[in-house]
Amino acid sequence: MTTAPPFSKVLVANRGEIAVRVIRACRELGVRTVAVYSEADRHSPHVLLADEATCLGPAEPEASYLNIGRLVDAARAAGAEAVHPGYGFLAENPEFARACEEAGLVFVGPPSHVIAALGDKDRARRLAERLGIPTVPGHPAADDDTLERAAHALGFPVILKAAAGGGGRGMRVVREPERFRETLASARREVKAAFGDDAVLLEKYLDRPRHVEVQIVADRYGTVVHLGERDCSVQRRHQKIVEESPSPAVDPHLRSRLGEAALRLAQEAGYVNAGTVEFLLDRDGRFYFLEANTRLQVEHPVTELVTGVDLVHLQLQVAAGQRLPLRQEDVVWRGHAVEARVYAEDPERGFAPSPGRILLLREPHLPGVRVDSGVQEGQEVPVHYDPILSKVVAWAPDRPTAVARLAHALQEYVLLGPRTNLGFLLDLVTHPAFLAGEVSTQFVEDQLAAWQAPDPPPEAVALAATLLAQEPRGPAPVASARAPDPWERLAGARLP
Amino acid sequence: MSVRVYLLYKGRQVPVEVRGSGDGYAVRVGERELRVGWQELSPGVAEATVEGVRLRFCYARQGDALQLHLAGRVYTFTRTREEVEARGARPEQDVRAPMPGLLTRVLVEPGQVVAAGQPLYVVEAMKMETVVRAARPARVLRVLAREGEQVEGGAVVVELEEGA
Repeated sequence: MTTAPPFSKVLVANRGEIAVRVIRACRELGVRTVAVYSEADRHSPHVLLADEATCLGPAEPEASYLNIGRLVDAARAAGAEAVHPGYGFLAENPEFARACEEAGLVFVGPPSHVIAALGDKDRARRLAERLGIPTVPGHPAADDDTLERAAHALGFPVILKAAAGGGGRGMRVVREPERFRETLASARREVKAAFGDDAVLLEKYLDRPRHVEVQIVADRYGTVVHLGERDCSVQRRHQKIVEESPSPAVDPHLRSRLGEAALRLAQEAGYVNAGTVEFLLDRDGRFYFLEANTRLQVEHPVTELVTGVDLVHLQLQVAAGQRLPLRQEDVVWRGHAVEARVYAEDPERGFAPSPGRILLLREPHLPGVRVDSGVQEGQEVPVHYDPILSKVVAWAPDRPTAVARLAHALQEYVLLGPRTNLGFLLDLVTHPAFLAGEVSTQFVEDQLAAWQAPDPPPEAVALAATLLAQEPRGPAPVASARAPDPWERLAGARLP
Repeated sequence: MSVRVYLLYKGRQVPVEVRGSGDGYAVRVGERELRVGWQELSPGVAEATVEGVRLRFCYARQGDALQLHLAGRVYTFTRTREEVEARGARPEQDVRAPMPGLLTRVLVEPGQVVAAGQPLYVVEAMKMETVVRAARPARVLRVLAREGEQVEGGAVVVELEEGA
């Protein structure tokens, strides 16, 4: 199928794996790309991959990836028609969408007023209530005293959340009343640093629910379809780390009810482009609206693998004013997909970020496995941004095979330099409760809180000792004495 | 050649004796002696034979520190030049930064008595706040960094005196 490219040129206002993902999608559609980068990301893969690249400024996000003025200027200077925000940074910032709109740039996402309406969690929640979609009891963003009184009225435990923005930033569970003030202050600081606004809201913390979300996509002409659910119950520090589709807890009947709730919310909000409606699912199969994310999600590949739909292609097409090329009855689900997020962090030390230079990188290559990566060997993983390195996504006709493929891929994945969560993920996806599909948002805390990497077997100790017995040497590779070096013979020869 | 190598793994010392060189070593780890040979295929990627079993491993070395990837796991070792006194007699008296980052808040002052679990300071890195707490009741001896300063991972930020 050949259609005209949706745009001639798109600026990708992000970094890392999602920038790489969007640039590749643009390339497939014949769209030229402009990458942006901070001084810390000069050697990131997305910079070289794009057709053009513009340096935004210093490493600090406020000076680079969060700098609306610089981004809009860069897009106009490069002659871009549209801006794709990725996820995180300014993806859910209505002012950025508005600045693009005012500069005559197409923002690849919903209109700014829709982002503002749904991105404000209090407003989104009132919208859901008006539509008869159940919500978790809570209290909207307010001052410290009001929130503390509300927490006592709801009863502990409660959960604090950023009123604007997602990704688990600022999210804190408070179990003891005497920790409330201290925790609220810390949540406000983190939220302020991430989104520039310290509004925090409060919800009753449900006991061991699942996190289930519905992918929707809408065009400008009122057509909205849902692409089924993703189960993102496995989280650490309230950030998803393993996601799958379909959810082991959702049957076709529940799927259509969840999908219907998501579609009604999207239609009522005048939604356009790709988005996600998040729910908590309790142990009795009741679901509660949590929030709507007005952007592409980190975990979108699992939906792509089970539906065969390329969400970034659709985003670009509907942003260009094209009609959705599929109706609800065209959406068919096939097989099972599961994703694991690879982070530069130390699971043995509370998942503390672990920046540094990547000294060796071997990504897995297996049938049915997709790796969305944003890093390369030799690159410095900067301290300034979210520590995600890549996502490993496995597909198979059934869940056990998909999970086994993911485990094999994690085992083959070699990344040396920064510490990573690869070993932790391997133990997670081979854990009996995960294999049985019996997880909740508390799974990591319940089952893997005291996780320690296994001790090295004797052969690892022996190999390490022989390597460390030698004096450290320079970076020059050791030439093999056996085979003559073919490059030697080329010396002096002219290559065509 | 016979070398005694003191390896540190997660703060524990493992003495290892290495005899031989090139592609044949006899390595004594505790009570066991292993016959080890390996050949580097490309920088950091090698094929080994340990006790007749063939395996593939990857490694990265920085000075005396080594990361070894074997069968899906990464192990980090450090070589120490001499035997380290068994630790444990002296309690941990300082609270180190868990990662490099920005010291956003210092919550204690020298002389202050802190309870177990009391927050001492806050480090922000990669957009995440980590609160460092006192493990046991103690008195603050010194605070070695200021708010707004960048601290290294493992840097001593607060010195505590226990049993205060």
